[in-house]
Amino acid sequence: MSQEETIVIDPVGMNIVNRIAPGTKFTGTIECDGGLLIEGAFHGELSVKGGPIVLMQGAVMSGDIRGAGDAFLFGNIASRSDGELSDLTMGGAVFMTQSVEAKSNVTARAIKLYEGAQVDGRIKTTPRQ
Amino acid sequence: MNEATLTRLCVGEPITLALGVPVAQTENVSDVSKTLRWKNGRWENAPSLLDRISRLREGSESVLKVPTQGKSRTLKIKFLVGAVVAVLAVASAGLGSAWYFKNKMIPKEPPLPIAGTVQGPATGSSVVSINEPYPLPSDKPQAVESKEVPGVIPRVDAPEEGVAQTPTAIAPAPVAPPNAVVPVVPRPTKDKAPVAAAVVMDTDVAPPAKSSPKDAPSVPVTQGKPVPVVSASKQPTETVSSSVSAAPVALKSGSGLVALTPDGKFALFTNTATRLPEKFGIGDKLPNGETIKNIDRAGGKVQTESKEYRLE
Repeated sequence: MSQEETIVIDPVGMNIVNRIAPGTKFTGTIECDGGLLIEGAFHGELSVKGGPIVLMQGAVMSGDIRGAGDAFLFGNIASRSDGELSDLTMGGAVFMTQSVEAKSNVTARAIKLYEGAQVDGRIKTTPRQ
Repeated sequence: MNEATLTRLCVGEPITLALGVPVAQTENVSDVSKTLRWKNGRWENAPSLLDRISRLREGSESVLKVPTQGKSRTLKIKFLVGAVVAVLAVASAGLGSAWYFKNKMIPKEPPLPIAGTVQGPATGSSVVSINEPYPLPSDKPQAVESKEVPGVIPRVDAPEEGVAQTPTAIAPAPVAPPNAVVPVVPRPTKDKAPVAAAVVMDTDVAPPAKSSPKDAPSVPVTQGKPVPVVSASKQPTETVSSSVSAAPVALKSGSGLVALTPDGKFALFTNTATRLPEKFGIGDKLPNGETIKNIDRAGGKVQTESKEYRLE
């Protein structure tokens, strides 16, 4: 039987220099140069390069999210305001952990799924560039 | 303050998060025993043709070896064996009971006389005396005559009690020495008691004839002086004279005359030495020394100078 995996989120080592703190709600467009740690809520368009996107457990995001690196998803991806599925497009791997709830289409170079993850949307992988 | 420190201050310290159990194929969890895998140079869990054939064979054998069928066969065999045994037992019981009742219903009769009870030659029975070898001239005929006078003739007429009075018991043929037989000695039968009585008169040993023809002749046998074996070469002349004077008629019962030729010229006598018939004509000398004087074909008699022989 496979063992449970863990990951150490080291902001310095992973170049996560941006953070949406818990209780913070942001709606709009954000472009980040470096990783983003989301512990609050985000609705809109997000573009992250130079680092991963870490959606912490309890955090919510929706809209059109793009990134050049990996995405560690522990929280919720809500649908758009109009009810449609959000879109997550990543250049790296997407780790959909045991606590994620996503109503989104996911496109990534690789997707790693953990038991317990709930995904409502299309999953698409892209070839390595 | 460097960037790392600022990052630490803004974002935070490294944190450890549990991703969970990755979705993967685990042999311990999922059952892969039935999946097709290449191992040790062959596909595992892929039934080969031989396996399929062997399974078919096993299936057919298993069909043949249904326990219920075997039980039924053994039961049938046991039933058949038991039925056969029961039939045999009933049949044997029926036969036994039938035999028992048959024996019980038949009244018991006195045991039939058995021919085998007739005493043999060694015991000196009448039959033996008749079958004694025909005395040759060289032998001692007179001695034979003298010895047989008292005992032999009564024995002929009197078979022992219990002996079948059939011709077989009396040994039909062989004939007594002709010289010992005087006129005619009829074959021993019950009806011929007078003959026995006549014989008895000539013997001092024989008791008087009884009314029962069966008992009368048997007395001499029981009293019988054992017939001496003729080995007597002693004093033949004396015995001859005494016997002849006593009762020439009673000397011999068997004459030895077997047959007469149709023309009446020859007579067949039994040669007691060879037990074969020999032909004698008128004027021929018999082995006992007597000479044939006449042959009466019509009467069945042969007359010598001293005796008369009749056909047996």
